[in-house]
Amino acid sequence: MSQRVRLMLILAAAMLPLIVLALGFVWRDSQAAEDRIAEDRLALARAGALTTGAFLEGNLATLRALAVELGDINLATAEQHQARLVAIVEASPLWIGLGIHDMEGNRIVGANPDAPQGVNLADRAYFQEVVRTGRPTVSSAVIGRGTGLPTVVLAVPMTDADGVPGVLLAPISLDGLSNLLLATLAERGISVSLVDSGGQTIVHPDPLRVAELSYVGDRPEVVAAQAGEMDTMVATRSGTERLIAFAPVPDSDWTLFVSEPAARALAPARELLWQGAALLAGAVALVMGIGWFLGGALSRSYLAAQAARQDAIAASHSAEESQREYANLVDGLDGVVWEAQADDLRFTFVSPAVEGILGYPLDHWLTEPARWSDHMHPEDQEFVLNRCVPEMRQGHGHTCEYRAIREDGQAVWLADMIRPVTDGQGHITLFRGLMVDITARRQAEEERGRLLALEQQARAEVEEALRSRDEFLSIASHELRNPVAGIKGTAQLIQRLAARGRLSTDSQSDYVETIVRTSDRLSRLVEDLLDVSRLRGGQFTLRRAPVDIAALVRAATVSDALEEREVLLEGVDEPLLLGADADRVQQVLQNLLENAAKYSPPDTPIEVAVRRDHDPAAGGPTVKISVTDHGIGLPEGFATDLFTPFGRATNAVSANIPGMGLGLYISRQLAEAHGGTLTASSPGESQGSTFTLVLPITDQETVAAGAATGGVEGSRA
Amino acid sequence: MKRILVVEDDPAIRRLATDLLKDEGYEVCTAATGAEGLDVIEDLRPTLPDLIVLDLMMPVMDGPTFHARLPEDARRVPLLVLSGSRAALDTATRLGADILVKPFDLDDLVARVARAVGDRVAPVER
Repeated sequence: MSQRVRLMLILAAAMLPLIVLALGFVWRDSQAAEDRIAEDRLALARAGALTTGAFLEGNLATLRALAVELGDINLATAEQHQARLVAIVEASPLWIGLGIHDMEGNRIVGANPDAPQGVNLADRAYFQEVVRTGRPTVSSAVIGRGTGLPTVVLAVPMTDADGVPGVLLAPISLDGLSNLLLATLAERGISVSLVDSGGQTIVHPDPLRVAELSYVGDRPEVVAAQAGEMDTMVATRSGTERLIAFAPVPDSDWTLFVSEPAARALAPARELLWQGAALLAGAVALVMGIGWFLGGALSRSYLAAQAARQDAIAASHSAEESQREYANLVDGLDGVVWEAQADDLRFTFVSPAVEGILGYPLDHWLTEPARWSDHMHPEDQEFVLNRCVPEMRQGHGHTCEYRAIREDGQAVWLADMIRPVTDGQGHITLFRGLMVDITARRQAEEERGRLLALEQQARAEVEEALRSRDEFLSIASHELRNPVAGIKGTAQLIQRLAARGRLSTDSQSDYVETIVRTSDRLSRLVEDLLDVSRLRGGQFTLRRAPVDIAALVRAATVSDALEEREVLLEGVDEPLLLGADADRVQQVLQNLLENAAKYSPPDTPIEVAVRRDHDPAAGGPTVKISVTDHGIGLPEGFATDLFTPFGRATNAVSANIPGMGLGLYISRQLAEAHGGTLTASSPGESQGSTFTLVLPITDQETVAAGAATGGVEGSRA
Repeated sequence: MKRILVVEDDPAIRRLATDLLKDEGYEVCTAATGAEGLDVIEDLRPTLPDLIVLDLMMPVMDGPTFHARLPEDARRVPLLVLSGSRAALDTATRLGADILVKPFDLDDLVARVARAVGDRVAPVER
């Protein structure tokens, strides 16, 4: 419950008795006003009653005076006075007639000539009363014959000159009285009525009711009036409350009523009530409004004060709480929060996560003189000390990634986000940082890098293989086209010259020889290309068997190419066995010997030497076969290019020595397939060259095993 | 007499071209490599050959290198490329040369040469 509402309730409680009291006063005033109004109406009723009384009194007084005046006549001869009576009635407009009756009720004389003859009034109550009492009497009202208006008869006793009693009667119309009463009060909206002792209405604003002499004797106000118990009342008539005041008309049994709608009559009183209530309500509203406003202000200031007090309490709580929360936050981080002094980089704070990441207990970093740099990976120390630390000292926040060594000796990759903290003068006093273990990320990166490198290498190898194959095919195609063009063209030339009669016998045989030579070159080229293709495609198997290498060398020197050459052999006299494919080794030896013959002058010797050797690189005993010529030699730097497909020495080409550059390539491949080597050396151009084939000597078991398991080898004549 | 320089590493083709073109009435000089070809051009001075027949793929110095090293004036000499590969077409186009792919018909070679040196009719037979 708000403070404002509380205040309002207090105000309401305080005001309640006052309100009740005030309402009581208002009520009392209103009641007093109603009483005053009722008294006012009663006064009106009394005034009306007095007026009526005066009206009757006056007429009776006049009639009495007339009775005295008429006392000089003889009732026995009263008829003689009729004219006199008529004259009196004419002079008094209220009087309808005038008559004199004897004590038995018989009319003696009357002013009204139309009155029926022989009227006897002895049975009338008023006549009997006037005879009995000898005092003036007023009759009940009747509707006047001829006038149609309520009429009463005034009767006074009289005595004629002879002392004979009689009664003087004068019927008077109540019209005048009615006019008087109604005119007086009608303008105030108040209804006036006069009821006679018989309960008949003799004066009323509604002429019809008067004309019928409506009986109202059973109405409560009439009953009350006749009982004389009260003088005002409120009665309901036709569903409307009416305020009715009544007063008895003096010297008669008549009662005068004034009545009007209670709502209108009491309006001033009720208005007073409403005004009082309204005034009271206004006052209450005003007080409550002020209370509301004050309550609001009070409430605000109260709430502010309370909030301030609660803030103060909360602040004292939250300082502890936030410290606890920070501690929880830092402890729960998946990284190490640290703080170190700027001067010696000694830790002033390290969060407990360090134990999980680096293994050492927390105290290791805080109490022992442990230097952070001592725990770095040796390979990263230089980077951290020469790159990261200077950056830190420059005041730049930065992130440094390096490895640290765990307690168990494992390397851990850390990302260290370091931020310098400066004092007011801008000097760095502290460093703060967050170290996160990024070992997994680093390992993933390294793994990815390794896979990427592998993939790149594999792709490069494939691309190189494709490029090499394309190049080989391109060169092979070119090399094949040359001899074909030569053969085809030379044949055409023979035809052409013969057709023109210009083909000499000498030139013809020259051309034919060219064709034969070129065909031979073509077939060897095809052969070599097939070898190369097999070697490159890996569809190449050595058929190893024990071979006497000395015998092979001797056999190789016996060929057409060396027919007229001097070949000096050395070390071929004793058998030298090794496990090898005899055909392939023979192919290599022939190639080397033919090259030697081809690239050296015919009159120079070719030297072939076979020697046992021991080559640690080859892992055991070897045999070394060298072929030396005294020919064109090799230009510097060509010793390796010779062994590439189609590779030829420049001086060999410019010396117009035919060749395709495949022989040495094939030979080296075959040597290497045997686990051996083939190399070239030369002191220089025109100084000869030496080609050396080295083959490993395997033990006999291996040789035998090789012979037993040798695969199928491609065709080679 | 129109003079033609044949630069070709294959001896059979070199011999063939020489004999054929001589028979057609041209003066022919030969070179087995690009380097030799450059020497021959210098030897022929003060005149230049009317046509160079050039093999593109040669050891030591290939056809394009040879062409690039020609003296300024010799580079305007018409060029007929002999090649073992259709891929050489691009190279020939770049050099502004006509091209004949090996193996070729002798009539083709004669016709190309005649066109290159500007002969409207075949030279008078010897």
